[in-house]
Amino acid sequence: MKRLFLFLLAAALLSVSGLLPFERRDAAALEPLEALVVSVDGNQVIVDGGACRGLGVSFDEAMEDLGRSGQGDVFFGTVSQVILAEPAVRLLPQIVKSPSLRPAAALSAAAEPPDPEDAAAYLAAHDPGLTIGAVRTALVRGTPIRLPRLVETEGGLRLDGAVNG
Amino acid sequence: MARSMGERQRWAWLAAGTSAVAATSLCGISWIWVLLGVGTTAVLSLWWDRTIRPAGLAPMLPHTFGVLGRIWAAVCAVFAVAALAWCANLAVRAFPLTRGGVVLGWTLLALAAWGCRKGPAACAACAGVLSLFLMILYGVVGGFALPDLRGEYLVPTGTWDQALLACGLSLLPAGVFFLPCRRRRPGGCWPWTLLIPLSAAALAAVTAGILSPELAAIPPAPLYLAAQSVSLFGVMEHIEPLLSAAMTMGIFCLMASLTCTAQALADQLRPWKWSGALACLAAAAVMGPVGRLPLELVALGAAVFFGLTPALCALRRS
Repeated sequence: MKRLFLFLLAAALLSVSGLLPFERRDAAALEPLEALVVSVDGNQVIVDGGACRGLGVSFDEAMEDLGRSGQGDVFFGTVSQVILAEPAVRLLPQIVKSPSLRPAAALSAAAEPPDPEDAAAYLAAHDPGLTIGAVRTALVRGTPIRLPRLVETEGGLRLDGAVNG
Repeated sequence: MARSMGERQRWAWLAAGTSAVAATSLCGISWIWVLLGVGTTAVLSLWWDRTIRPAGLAPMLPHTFGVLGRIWAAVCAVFAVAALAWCANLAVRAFPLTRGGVVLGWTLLALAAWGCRKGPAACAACAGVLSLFLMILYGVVGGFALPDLRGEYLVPTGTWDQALLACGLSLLPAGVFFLPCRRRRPGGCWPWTLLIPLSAAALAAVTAGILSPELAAIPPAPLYLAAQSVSLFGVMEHIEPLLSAAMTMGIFCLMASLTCTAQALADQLRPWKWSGALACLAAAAVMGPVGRLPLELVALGAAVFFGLTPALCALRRS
């Protein structure tokens, strides 16, 4: 009993000491993002998550800035859509290697940056079919990549060139 | 006389340790080479299970080879410490999205040292229970991943020498054969020789089937990356914590076996109840440099010290 008590005490001390590299997150403060719109303005990369935006000279820097800019704890684990507005398509090799984005997140391109929430709602019902994982594999294999295009029309959004899974 | 572990517990301990190696280091290899490599280790383990004396390999070394055996026991103990340090780095790899996780390795080293003080029988009993949880956890991960598998990604790739790498690394848990074990039905645990390689190959197949063989071959944690891709009914599922928990349990079992092995080997030179703890302390000290060793070197060391040694003792005995 004494040893069990000592073990539990050691575990509790380790937990509160801050030595373990885990972060505590308040679920109520989480700000989950569903779609990211990546665009380039001059030398700046802009990552728009809807409720918050990040700026940086590279994609990774913009993502870090996005993480800091939210009112709560920005959570990238729920991002299911990444839309690249021209000329951000050239950032594709950086984007697919980002550890914050899931390989199953879908990729598409657009001429102009759409509203992230509108795009997320539309793409949830119309799957582009091309994932970050598939693009990364294509880059490794050296095969050509064709991103589905999200087009804004008078009637709303339209997806051209979706890849059938 | 201290209680020894049973045969089934030894095999469960082997399975738990192999799961750690498979999940952290073998998922980048094509499933066919994993099956071949781990299958070879499983067959060798069955042979040793039948031929090695209940007292274990450690006392057999000086008994069989005299002074040379004691020297070899010392060298094997040094390798066990190096392997322990390498495994402590695996603990960091079980949580790839965290930084500065060296405390994770130290924590598991402390637990392994404590387990060694309790004795191999206690560690084996713990591994026996944990192996059941590991089967459930990996089964859940694999089950969730099945709908996302792509058939074209399951075509075997790579070369046969990857089977050697898989065989060598899967020999790391074979340190349990240095420990005493009660023998009631020699070779009665043969179903484990099917379960262990098939499970390891299944993990590799799931990883490549989700990511693609090219992406799966990119370190450091392809299985973790594959778990991030899993979705159920179109909704992405967060099963990474399950995977990290399973990897940590397996790594602890592997580290406990290496600590007990180091203690058993050191006892052939000079019995001392704190040898295991000293091994863990030494492993913590060399964690950094050992973590940079290539996989091939670790596999070669395991093949020589934990593969060739029991094979020579078994052949000498027969």
